Amino acid sequence: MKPLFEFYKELERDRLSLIFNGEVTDEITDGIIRITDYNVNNMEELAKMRKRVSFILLECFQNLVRHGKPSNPQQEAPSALFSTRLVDGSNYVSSINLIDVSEIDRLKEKLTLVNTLEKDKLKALYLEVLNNKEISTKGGAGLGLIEIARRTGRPLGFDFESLDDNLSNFYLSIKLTNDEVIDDSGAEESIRFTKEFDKTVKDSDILMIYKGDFGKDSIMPIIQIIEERIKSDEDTSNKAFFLILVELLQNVSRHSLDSSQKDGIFCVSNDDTGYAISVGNIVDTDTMNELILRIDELNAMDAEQLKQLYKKTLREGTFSDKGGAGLGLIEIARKSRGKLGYEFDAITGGKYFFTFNVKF
Amino acid sequence: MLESLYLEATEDTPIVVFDAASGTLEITGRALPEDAHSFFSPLQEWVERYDSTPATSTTVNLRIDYFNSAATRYIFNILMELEELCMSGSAVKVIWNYSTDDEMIAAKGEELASMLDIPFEMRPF
Repeated sequence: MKPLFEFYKELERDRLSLIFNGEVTDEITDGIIRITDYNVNNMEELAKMRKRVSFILLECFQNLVRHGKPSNPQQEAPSALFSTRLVDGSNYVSSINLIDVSEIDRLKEKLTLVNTLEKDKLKALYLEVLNNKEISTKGGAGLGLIEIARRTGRPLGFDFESLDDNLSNFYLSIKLTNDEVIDDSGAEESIRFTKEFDKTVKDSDILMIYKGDFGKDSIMPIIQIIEERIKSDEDTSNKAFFLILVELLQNVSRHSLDSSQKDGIFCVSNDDTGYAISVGNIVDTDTMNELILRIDELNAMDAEQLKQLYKKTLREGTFSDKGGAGLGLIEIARKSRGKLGYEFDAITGGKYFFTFNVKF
Repeated sequence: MLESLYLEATEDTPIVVFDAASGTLEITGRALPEDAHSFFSPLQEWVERYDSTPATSTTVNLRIDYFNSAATRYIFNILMELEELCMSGSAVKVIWNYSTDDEMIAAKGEELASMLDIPFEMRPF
């Protein structure tokens, strides 16, 4: 798999990036909207898009649910690769999902139409469709797309890629900016990014990548999304996995260099051997040395030794406001599969990018 | 008389019902607070004060489905506090409720029980 540090560099300018690959259920939709909303609401420079963001995301999801197909017959909800990113002053939203080839022409026609219309014409079309009795069984007769175009005020990026006689990939990409200026840059770039990421994500069996704030209010929606995501996997006895993830994410938040800015990245993948979680954040030299010491120490222990250390730490460990006095790391070592992996990549200013790799 | 402590559940914290008059202390739900200190300190203080004027018998009812390590630490500390009460001759009992298909929570209960000298009942549901 591609090292987490590579993803981090690629997404370096992103204040938030969430890339989700899987079945899009209501809980997932809800989680993605919450996390985007939370971030937009906390960025003064994005104030003007606040009202539109959740609306656009919801329309996109509804569009996906109406037209998308599950990637396997056991699923009820459609599968998709969905991403929401906050970069500079813009929110990029894109989705890739399967559709029936029979829908391509109709979708292409609608998208081309909404892309060419001026604002007042779009409004007129909106009202016309709204009053039109001929509403398709798929719902909305394209109202969703018209609404998205009206609120973004710029061309929507789209593309199709036939997979076989019946199915095609449908790419949709939207750029939402804080101002009302029409600018058609970005949509193409966003489509390119989405396609490229789609390939990486599918090649590496990635379920989710998140980069951004690791504070409590961001982490809870992320945990909700992951919890829901692993529910749809066959093996549902995954409570221990879930708890490892919580420990890992809270660990970043507790031990961030800057307590007001708790930035990090994590990636969850699932291949034949099981789940792999990689978490990354920036640390100083002292923290690096301490981490190496502690992880090596834990890696040298067998299950019984870890159990004894856990009990000893629970009984005697010094109490700190930061939480567990190292209890979290021991829990991770006890519950995970194989040894704990780590990497440190030097970045500027004597700091290091710390990647923690845990298997389950 | 010590006032009862009652906390509603949140997304990452459990329901807490500590009633001094009846001597029942209940914690139910998810215990995943990032800042465990802020959440558990009032609980711990309450138990410390309860220890000085306890009810005739004390029952601790725990039914927790998710723990993070920080929460485990604080719950263990509260139980240690009650262990002292127990050793001073007061009747104290801990009931660890766990779902029969939840091995992890069962194992966590057994582990805590093995570290405490206090009547500890494992109660499946």
